[in-house]
Amino acid sequence: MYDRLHQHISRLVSLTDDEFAFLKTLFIPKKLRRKHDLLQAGDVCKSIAFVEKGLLKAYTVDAKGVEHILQFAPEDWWISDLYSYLTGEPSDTQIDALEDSELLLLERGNMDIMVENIPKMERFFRITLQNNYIASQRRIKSALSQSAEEKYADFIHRYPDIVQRVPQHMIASYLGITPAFLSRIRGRKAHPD
Amino acid sequence: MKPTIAIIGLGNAGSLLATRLAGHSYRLLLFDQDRSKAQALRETLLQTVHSVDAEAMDCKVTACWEADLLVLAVSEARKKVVAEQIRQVATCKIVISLATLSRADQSGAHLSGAVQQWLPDSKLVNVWLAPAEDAHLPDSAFLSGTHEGALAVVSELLTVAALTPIEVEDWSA
Repeated sequence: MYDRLHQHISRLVSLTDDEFAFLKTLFIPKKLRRKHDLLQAGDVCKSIAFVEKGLLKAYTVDAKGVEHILQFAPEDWWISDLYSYLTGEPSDTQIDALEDSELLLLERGNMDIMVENIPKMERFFRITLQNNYIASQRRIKSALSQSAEEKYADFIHRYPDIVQRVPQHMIASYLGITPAFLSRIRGRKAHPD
Repeated sequence: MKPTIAIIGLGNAGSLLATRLAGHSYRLLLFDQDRSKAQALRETLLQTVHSVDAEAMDCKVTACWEADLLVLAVSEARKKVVAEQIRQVATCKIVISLATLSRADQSGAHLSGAVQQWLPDSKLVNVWLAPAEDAHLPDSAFLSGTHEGALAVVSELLTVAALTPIEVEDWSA
């Protein structure tokens, strides 16, 4: 139940067995079925979720009821509305499971307890947040400056696994293009002339 | 998010709580060793409250793994065994150790401290249901525990279930 988390943390910091045993007591194990939600817009995001197994998506819904996918989170990823988590303000984001998932949830208070007792984890979260920031920056730049073809090529290169696991209309939503347009791009890639 | 509550053990106390919570904003996962009990209770709930979100579960560990809050409503004699089975998926979760208060048998009160020892990483709240002797009076529930946040959540839950929460000192101390 904690194998991936253990490996994931070990890539950045090395913990003793005792430290990891203590760390495990701070996470809520949560099984989430496909289509069930972890966060609803309007609620405060109380925890960040580490994905041990499964796949989730974070998205907002606009006034017309159209979903805009912000993030996919397969195994080894964290997912949350960090803004709501850190400020305690209600979230405008929804998070739900695209596959049956097994999560480890870390509430704010427990994160504080963790870094207080295992200072090495400060380093872990600093690097994790840096990576999160870099990914956000990349995503903003891509949204502003890349063509739809470039965005799609970039996506399949970066996340080949996700491409296999989610329906095309969700990838279109993530890239900010219509499903019909994505379908044309894919057609052109398959038959370049 | 609609909180998910696992109720493990569907004797008098477990069924009563499930019935009182049905139709409110919770998802209920029902488990009893006797599987037909969970199925029967679900059907009864569906007949009385159409909006009920309840499911009969085949496995108590899966039920507790999915749930945000756990209710341990098995007999006092079985609590240790069940606590050990669900311990891993109960980490950091609120666990209600549920019993019905009866004057003749105080053994539940003596055991209440033990459940926290069996679930060291959970936030344990002991709840004793005390049905009113006079039908005109509201039912109440006594509760005790050391985790203040958990006590507040459980008080709110009991109020939703139309059980007047009465906080008492930890009787196990």
